[in-house]
Amino acid sequence: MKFENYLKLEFPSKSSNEALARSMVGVFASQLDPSMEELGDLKTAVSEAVTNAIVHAYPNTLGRISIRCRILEENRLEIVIRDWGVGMADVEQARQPLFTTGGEERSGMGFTIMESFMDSLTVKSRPGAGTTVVMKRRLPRRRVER
Amino acid sequence: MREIDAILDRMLPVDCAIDLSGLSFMDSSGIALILRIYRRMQLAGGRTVVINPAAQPLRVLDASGIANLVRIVTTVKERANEV
Repeated sequence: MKFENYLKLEFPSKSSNEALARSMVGVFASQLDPSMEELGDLKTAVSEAVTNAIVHAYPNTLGRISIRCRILEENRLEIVIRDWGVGMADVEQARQPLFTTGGEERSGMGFTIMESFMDSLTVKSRPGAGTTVVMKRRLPRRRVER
Repeated sequence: MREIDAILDRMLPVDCAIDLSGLSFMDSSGIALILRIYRRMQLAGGRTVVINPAAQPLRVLDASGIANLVRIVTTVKERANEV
């Protein structure tokens, strides 16, 4: 797939890295001149995916999380968030609104919000082999390119 | 979550207003907190209202559907509706 630019990040599954991850993706996305609302949507979707990896992929340890952003044709932003943690046996069940394995402290709305704020969302996971979340959103440019 | 429970245990409010005016960003973990407060207040027969969410938190509240359970109030808008 052709891409115009990319960014790769890797960081440990520490809670303090949620804000870092969404800020970094926001900075990368800014080259597409998103509106404040679009930027907020992207950062929220990233926050949800990264939080899932921190809370669910590595419940009792610190693990590796990677993010790859690419600007594809027609101003589409692709964000891939990957972990090598516990994985999920039933992705469809996990994507149901309000479903969570995290108890009362979790809302179970993470995937619902990612689906609402991005144009597309695919989730691949296998128990013991981690999870890969791929999100895409088209950001029509507003300013004229020079 | 434990702090919220401790505050509710101590104050035993009749109703609860959650002021989000100082919050610039919220994800679904904030929804979990609001749901927790809502369920506690519902058990006690009280109401829960969210006050003055900024634009991004409001989008998350809308996407979650929590407005079906909890009233969301923006004070300027409410005043305009009263006029």
